Amino acid sequence: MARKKIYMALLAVSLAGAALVLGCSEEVGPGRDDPWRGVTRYPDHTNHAHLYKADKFEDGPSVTMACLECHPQAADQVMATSHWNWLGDPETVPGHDKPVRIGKLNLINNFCISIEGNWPKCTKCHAGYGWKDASFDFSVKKNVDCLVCHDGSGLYDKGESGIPPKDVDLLAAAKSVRRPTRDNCGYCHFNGGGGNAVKHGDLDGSLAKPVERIDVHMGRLNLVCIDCHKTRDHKITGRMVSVSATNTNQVGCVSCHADKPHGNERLDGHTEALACQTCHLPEMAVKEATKVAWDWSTAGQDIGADDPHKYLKIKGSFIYAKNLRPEYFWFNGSLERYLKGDLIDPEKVTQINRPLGSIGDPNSKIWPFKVHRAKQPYDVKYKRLIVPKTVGKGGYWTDFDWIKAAELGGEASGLPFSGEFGFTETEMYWRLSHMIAPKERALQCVDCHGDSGGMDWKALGYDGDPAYVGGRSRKRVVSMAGGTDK
Amino acid sequence: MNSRLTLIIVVLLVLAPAVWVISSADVETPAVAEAAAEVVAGDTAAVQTPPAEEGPSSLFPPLTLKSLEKAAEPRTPSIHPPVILMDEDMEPVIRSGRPLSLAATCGGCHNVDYIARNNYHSQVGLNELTPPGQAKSGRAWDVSPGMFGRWNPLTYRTLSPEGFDEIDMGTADWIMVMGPRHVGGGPAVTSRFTGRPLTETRADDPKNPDAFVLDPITRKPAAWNWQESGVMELNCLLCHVKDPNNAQRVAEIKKGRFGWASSATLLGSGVAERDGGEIKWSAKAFAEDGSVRPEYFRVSDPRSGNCRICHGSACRCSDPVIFENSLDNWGTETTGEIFSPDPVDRSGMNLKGKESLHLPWDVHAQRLLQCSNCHHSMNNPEYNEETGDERPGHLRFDARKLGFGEYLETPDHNLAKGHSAQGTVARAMDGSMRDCRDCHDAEARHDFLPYKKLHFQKLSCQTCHVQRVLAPARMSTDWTLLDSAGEPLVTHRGVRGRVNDPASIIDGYTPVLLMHEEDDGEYRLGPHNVITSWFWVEGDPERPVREADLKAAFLEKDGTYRPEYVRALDENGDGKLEENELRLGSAAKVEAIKKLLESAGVKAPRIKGEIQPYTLSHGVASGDYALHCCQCCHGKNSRAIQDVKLSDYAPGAAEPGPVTDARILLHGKIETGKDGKVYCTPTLDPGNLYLHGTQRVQWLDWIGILAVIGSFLGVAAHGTLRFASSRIKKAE
Repeated sequence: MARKKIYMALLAVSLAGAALVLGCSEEVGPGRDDPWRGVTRYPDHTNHAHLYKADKFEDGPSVTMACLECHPQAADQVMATSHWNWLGDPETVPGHDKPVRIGKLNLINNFCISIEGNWPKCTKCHAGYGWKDASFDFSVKKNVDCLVCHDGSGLYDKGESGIPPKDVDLLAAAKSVRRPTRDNCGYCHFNGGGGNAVKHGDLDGSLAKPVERIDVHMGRLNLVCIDCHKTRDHKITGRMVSVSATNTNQVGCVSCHADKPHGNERLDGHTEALACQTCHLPEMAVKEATKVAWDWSTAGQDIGADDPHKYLKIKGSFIYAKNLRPEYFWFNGSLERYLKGDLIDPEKVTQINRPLGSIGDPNSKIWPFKVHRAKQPYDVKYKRLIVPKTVGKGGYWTDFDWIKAAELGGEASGLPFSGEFGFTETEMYWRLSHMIAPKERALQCVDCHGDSGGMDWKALGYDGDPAYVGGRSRKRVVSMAGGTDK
Repeated sequence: MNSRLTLIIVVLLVLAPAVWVISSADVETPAVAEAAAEVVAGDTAAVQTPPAEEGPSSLFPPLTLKSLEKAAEPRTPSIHPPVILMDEDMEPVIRSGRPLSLAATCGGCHNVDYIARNNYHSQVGLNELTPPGQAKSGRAWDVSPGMFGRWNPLTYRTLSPEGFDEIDMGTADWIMVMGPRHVGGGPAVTSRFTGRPLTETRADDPKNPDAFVLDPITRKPAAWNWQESGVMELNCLLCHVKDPNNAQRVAEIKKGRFGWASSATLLGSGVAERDGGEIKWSAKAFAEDGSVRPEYFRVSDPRSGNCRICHGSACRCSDPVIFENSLDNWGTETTGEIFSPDPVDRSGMNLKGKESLHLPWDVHAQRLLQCSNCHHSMNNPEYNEETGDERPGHLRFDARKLGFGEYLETPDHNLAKGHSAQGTVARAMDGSMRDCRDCHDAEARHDFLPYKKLHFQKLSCQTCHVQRVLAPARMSTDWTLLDSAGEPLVTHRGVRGRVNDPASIIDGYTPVLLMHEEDDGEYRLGPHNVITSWFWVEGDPERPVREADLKAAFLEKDGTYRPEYVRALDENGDGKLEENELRLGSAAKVEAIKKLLESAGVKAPRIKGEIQPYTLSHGVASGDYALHCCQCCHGKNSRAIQDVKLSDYAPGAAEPGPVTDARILLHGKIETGKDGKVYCTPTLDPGNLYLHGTQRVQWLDWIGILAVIGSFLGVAAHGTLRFASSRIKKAE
């Protein structure tokens, strides 16, 4: 009997060991690619259709108050995010001494330039209600806009200062709430710059219901934004390089994929120097044309016709393009950032947010970017970019008077205007991460290397095409005898 | 109104908006989206031009950004010094205005005589001439293994020998017919009879094919003036400058202005321009010393785009890739091979199942290889290395190499070649290039494959890695009749419908596996296309009936059918020749056409058929798309023994035979099926290759059967004995 027990114990130990081995083998090890492990499976969302006592909501804040009855922490959580504050955490911007909070609230770009003085139009996309001027109170919970992210009716809309138009059925929207979908995020992010596809190059309305050719994650696998931009307590992971400068709060492919997932030495070797997106995002603006250049200096001319993709009297001349090959730069996650009031050399192209990194920086990889080139107003005397008032009374879009617009914008932004303006060229960088193509459409060797590659290797710091002169971590020495790399 | 009518109206009312919504929706079809992408933009540079949209763009103020100005195209600096383009008298052409002589221009630094001699692309058989009937092809009229002297049924016309009976192709004819795919020099410069320049030829002997050409009207010899035409020099530019103007070069050749062919190659580059019918040198492209300014002229290693000019679709020539089957696209026409890095699914061709073909046309092209990486100069120190056989055993690396200076002076233009059925010229060089296994360690991969060594010994790598050809290739050429354009009747495999018709679906073809003799004397099974040709021969020793005689017999002078020709073939008597009537499918038709030929002066015409194998070595797929299934070869339906259609019919019931210089064992039997089509049914000689699962070896089968029966009997006997012994034990 004792022997039988020993046998049983040995058997149990063996089975446990086997189970342990099998269990361990399921772990994602080096080279093992099991991306679904990184995707959160959510339970069904509670149906809110029968939860409201009221038969009508008068305005957005009353919907928010109803939400807070059951989700009392939600407003506080939202009010701690950059979606509410339009400011990030304090960070030391490269080239500047003290930590500052930067964000849409106080930064200059080379599209519509700044929200300061232009709040009602810009804050249409604020996750709140009523931000119409500098006096907006960021501590009022009822002004948090729950519906812009949670509406499932598809009927919700926001007007100037983020206030829903009168005809929006707020009760229907409240009844339809759910986890955010691509439509919710896209309401603002697809329309950055004031219209579909204008700003990002990799975010536009075609991603609402994309085919896999446009985005393999959303089109083939039906992922939604929050599958990657994981959210906890309303804090959404991820960052835009247009409104932040340091390497924090990143969302990366390796959250789901192995860092060397190809099962091919040659391709896996590329991951030391390339971001995944560099090969897997062969083109930006796959379906909708994006704005790649904007010349404010031609604005104000009465030519009798406007074309939103070529010329508008209020904005000047544009170039839109699609199916564009990105531009490539070393990027270590941090950027230079032009801050309001920084000096410029008007004869040179001012870099609004140049990505930092180099071939010698081991933390840098080559990333794909959209570069938006513009010509925008600057103060000739003080040598800094102007924050013009464009919206509303006295704004450029109304009076077509740059001096008045610069004075009013200066008052709103605290940036005095000398009275003398000119136009200078600027470049703004948009890191590309969406519109990931199916792997079958990823860049191939010849797309970068060899005669037809078209990469400016010298600009990237290489001695020549690394396929022939070697990569940054080693110089290739080919042995004629063995034909091996040393 | 009855209820049925009401129902119809209701359905229409419901469906109409739905149809409108669907039709107006932006339906995503890859092909359409792809096309649109091309229209709007391509690269960053393209964004400087506003997208082509409706309305006059000049209406709007243009952008004034300097940063948008297109950067100069990055160019790797050329180490080649400035070139003074000279005429044959060593005078700079910009001063003399005469045709460019590359022998004079390049000969100052490079040994052009050495280059011309060591150059099978130029010699094309001139240095391998044999008396008629002794060429390895087995044809009575061939005089060399190369393009100059080896007849090809695709191009058809025959190089006339010295003392010809009736001229078909004099030397000048040959240049005009074959010159578009010849780099010049060799037989286009030098007399095959005297070894002297063709310009010294005098038209005093009417049987001298160097001095006479065929007059297509009279079908008689006509004297050729070499002084006026010049000769077609070896054209260095065709291979050594980017985008040479081959169309203009060909135009000069066809006009018989051979001396201007090299100059025409530079038309469009800014160096030369056409002024009326003449070629003039552009002063702006030349410096004061007569050299061409570097921005107009850049000498480089041959790129795949250069090779493409003669060999077929081989480059990143267009995006999306679009190709055409024709003799101008030789490689693709004869094999279906496309040497391009672009993905098949993004091509512009109407390919069956294109959306799932996520492979490049050729994986080597995709991975940056140029043609010259494999087909390199034989003494290029970059590639030249003693093989293990040549190198003493104790030496792993021999550091003594030809210096680059010496190489640049005397670069061997015999390019390394493989061993293909069709590469009959310079057979001595067969296998001089690195083959697959010289670069790839096949043993290190192929873990799925049992008996690796045996497979590698018996199969060429291409057998699995060129398992399917994705472009059409020629299947047959029938010169026994001519169509209304005066062309032979041609069929292709791998396409449903007419070739080159955008509406036809290209489904590609599975190559036929033939035993091909390789350098080591081993026969290996490898993929091929086979092209069957039918043609009339006459005389003894026989030779193909001249194309001019065919035209005289079948066509009027204006190119329309002769009434006798129509009557001979018109089966339904409607006075017209339909496609299905244009074939010699009955003895009566054959006889009628024979009579027509005889009336045109042809002596004792008879039909001959010939099968030419073309080895497939390009269009290689990576392992992901290679053949992996065992049953594809080992089984009753093995692709090694599949029937191969040779032709849709056999004119005059002639039986085609294989050419004898292809180094191929065309195993199997050729027969006409019940459907009237001609098939080759391959059989494998177990002496060369035994494919288990496909072939039967009777004695081995018997051993197997006996083993099974023996095992059964053994088990039964053992069981019986056990049963019996247990009974005995119980009884005890």
